[in-house]
Amino acid sequence: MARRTKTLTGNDNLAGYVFIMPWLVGFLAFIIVPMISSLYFSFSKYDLLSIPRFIGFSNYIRMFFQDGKYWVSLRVTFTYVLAGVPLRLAFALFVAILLNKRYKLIGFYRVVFYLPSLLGGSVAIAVMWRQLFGLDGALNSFLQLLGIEETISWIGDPSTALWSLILLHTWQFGSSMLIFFAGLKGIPATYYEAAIVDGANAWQKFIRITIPLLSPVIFFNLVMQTINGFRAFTQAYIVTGGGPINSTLFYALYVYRRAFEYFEMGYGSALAWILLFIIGVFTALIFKSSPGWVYYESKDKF
Amino acid sequence: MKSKVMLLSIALVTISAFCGYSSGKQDTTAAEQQKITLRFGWWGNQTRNERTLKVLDNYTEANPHVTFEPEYSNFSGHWEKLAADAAASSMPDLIQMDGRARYLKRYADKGLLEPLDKYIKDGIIDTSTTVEAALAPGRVDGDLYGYNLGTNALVVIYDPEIYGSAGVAEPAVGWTWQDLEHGSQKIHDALGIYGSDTLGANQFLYFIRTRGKHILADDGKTLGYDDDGIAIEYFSMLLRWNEAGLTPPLAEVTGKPLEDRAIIHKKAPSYWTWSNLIVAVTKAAGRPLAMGILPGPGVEKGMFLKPSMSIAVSSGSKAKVEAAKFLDWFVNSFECNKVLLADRGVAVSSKLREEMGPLLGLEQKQMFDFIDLVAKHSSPWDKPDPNTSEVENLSTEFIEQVLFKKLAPEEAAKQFRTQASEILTRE
Repeated sequence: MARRTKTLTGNDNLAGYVFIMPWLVGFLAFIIVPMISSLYFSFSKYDLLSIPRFIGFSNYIRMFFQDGKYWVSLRVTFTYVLAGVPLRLAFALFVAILLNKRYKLIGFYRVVFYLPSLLGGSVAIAVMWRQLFGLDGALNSFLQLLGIEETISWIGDPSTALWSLILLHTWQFGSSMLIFFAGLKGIPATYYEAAIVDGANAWQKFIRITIPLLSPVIFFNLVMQTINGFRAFTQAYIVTGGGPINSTLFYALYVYRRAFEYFEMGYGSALAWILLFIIGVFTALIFKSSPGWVYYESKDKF
Repeated sequence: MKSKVMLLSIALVTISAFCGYSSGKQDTTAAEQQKITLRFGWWGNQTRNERTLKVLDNYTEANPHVTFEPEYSNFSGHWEKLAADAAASSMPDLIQMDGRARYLKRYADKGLLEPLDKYIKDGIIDTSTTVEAALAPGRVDGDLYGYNLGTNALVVIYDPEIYGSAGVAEPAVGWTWQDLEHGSQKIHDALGIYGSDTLGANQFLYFIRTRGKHILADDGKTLGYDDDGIAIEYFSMLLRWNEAGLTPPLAEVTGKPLEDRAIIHKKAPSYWTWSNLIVAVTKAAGRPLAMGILPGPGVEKGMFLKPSMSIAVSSGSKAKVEAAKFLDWFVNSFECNKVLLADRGVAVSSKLREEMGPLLGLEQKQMFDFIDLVAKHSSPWDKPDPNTSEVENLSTEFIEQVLFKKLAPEEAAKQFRTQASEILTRE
């Protein structure tokens, strides 16, 4: 019996491999091979019209020591992630808890809150956002109603442009909210009942029951949202174009610019690999910290 | 039975994976009457796309052996696609190229475009009614790669009514930056609106030219002007107007499409842009506007005619002669251009311009007349260089920094030089 599974033809695994062959071919051709090529390009000068020329670490040296805009884009992206991700998760959790009761129109509310995250990455929403926060936009009209006469263009002013994008990011909390819903449903009601018997108030129930038992879900959302936050592109590209004065020059937008507008595929590839590295570091940090705060009921330990 | 079904489904999946593949359709025979398919890639808006498609159909009607595969998109999409096509060695036969000739130079230098002089000499492309000066911008190192599709120039589009009601003289040949500043102040004081719309990198380019220099040196390795005073003067001038409230604040202007600019809403008397946009601006404003030449001193050195865009043939095309024939029809024939109606700019052939005369609307006539005026007061345009767009974008950034008061003009001019040099001397 043991011997049969070792030979190739009688191997049960062969059928499995054959079935996943279409996906495997796609994975190799469209993910693995481009990644390896991109790594090679990151060490070369490649303008897409001629063959790549190997230049060693020049791209990386230029990135860290000669490119002022690189650090600007790093700062912008970090601000976006460090502000936007917690904000989005906080709203998602807050609204998920609010909607966890049995209201009449509960289904409707859930759809309404989920909708922005479905549409949010689209160009149409980005164009609309530009209108809302422009000088003659809805926000300024609303502020004028409240009697605030001084209006600025929220997307045209370097000090507020990034925050209008962070707001856009936060507004799309719907998908995280749904995942929190699922998590909340998984918390047995008996815990809450026991807590009420013991005289706990809402805040204590939240801190002592909801958060710890929800921590695996929070962990999942945190990792996913952080990764996505670093990859933000569409919003900056459409709403502000990276301006004004590069105050919304997201990392991914900068990569796109250098690679496609200035024909520097090699430099763009180097930028992309460093982004991968940065995302990897952040993800590793979150994972490393998880034993300290994530509670897995199945393992009954932190 | 089960394994037969499995085998069959695997085969079906594998075959369906290949169904998306489509092969190229060009015949490689030399005989001219064989069926030819020409791929034509351009960028445009709704109007241009519709008109161009119609024109392609008309050509196929007249020449049944030629069919077209049109490929159109927006400006940036066009270049991304072209770069990818070039890397895959499958560029379209006919390609719309940029008037600034940066992409043109880049592609021509790599040997990806076909020199058109041969076809002119063989009489396939008729240049008898086109002056060499109109074709010169499409030349790279002496060879003609991009055939000028329409002439363009920098312009001040202005509202004569606003000028009239404020009692300010309209822009005319010989007016100066001083005249502009005084006029703007007068309009601002009299009518409470802006005195002018914002100026940017294009006008900076012009400003440098009026001083007898160019933004890039001939060898493309340094800036074309040594005296930072020129840049300081321009930046300071923009800052001064901004602070006096003569121009809209930058935050107001950022991201605004053409239809939303201040002149449309009568909040400013002028709009600084390219001449071929007179049609769109007039349409959005809903009232007749006028076209003025830019201020001096040095207006003759500063003004230039440039192609709005050009058309090129790829060197890898398998139907170059047919492509050249179509190119000739596209740029010279009345049947074609009566449909296109100068949407790409003023035609370079004087005979065509005459023929088009009766068909032109008021704005198009204004554009044609303006180009004739500029032709008398201009000098050859800057040499194309692939780095120019990055340097120009850099100048826009510094103009923004000055107007947002993050940098003083002197500091901005200095840093602009440093960073531009870094771009130009990059390996």
